[in-house]
Amino acid sequence: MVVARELKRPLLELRQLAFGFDGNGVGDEKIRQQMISVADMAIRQVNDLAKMERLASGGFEMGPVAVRALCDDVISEISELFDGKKGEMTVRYSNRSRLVVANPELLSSVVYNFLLNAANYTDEEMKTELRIKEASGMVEINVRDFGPSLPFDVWQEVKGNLMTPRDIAMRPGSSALGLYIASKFSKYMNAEVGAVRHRDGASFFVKIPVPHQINMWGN
Amino acid sequence: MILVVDSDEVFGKCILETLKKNGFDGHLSNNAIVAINDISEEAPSLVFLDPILTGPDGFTFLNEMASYADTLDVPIVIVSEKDFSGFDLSEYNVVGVLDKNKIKPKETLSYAREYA
Repeated sequence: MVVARELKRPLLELRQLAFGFDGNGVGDEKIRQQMISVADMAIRQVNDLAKMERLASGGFEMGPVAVRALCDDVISEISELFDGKKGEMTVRYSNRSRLVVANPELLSSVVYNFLLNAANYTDEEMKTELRIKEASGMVEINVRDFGPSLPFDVWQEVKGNLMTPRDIAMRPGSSALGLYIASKFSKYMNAEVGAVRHRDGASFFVKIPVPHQINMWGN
Repeated sequence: MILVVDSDEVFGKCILETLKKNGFDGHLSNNAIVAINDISEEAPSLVFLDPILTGPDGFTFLNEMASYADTLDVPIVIVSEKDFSGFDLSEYNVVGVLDKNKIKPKETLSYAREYA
């Protein structure tokens, strides 16, 4: 039910966007691009749900993944959403290991869902930060949003939603489904997923181990 | 100025575009804090509000509106997926409730023409 409600949101948006076509062509291209962007996002969500089903059967192979290139691809895909918000996304890479052991499809979904969550909840004209750093043999991908500060009880809900999707009172239209998906995919890849509360937003991160052999070849 | 308060920015912008295309001056705020700051700069003539907002909810905004003399009488139209029909919203000067699942531009414009 919670998932159905979240998947309804893009349909409501597409319906409203369609009303914007007034026949004289003014602004039609912008609306068309927005409709494609909303539809792409919804398709991603449905694909991720389908992937959840495949997790149980172990249908995702693990292998070396170029983590910066993967993040660059996701940023490119999601950048229109940030343009629409007039927000700014900054990217900082400081990892020495270029490769991690992961499944590219799943890791791409994890990063996408973190960024989508940030795009939804960062304030307009505020920035979102994506950082890749390395510590203790792990590469960490960290996405920080600058939204309204969340009260502690709501924060507990957000953290809880890394485990199970349910309605979050102060994050409208969201069951934190994306965060739940990111959490599931991370666990499949033996990665660690977590969240940090800030006074002006939240960070979500995934830490992916870098096995010794990969580290040698990756540097 | 008509204020649209909606955390779903795609949806909020659609309402705003409808208003602007029909000659109304409008502004979109994506959360209650921003909206409260916006009304302190300029009192709106009409507000379209989805009370389910990121951060503090729309009732924080409604209470703020109701607490100042210059915004006390500003008409509010609730635009939401949630069913607010059973709520007594009269103390907030709510003049209408629109269902986000079914809303059409002509309904938005009808309120704008009557109140803005």
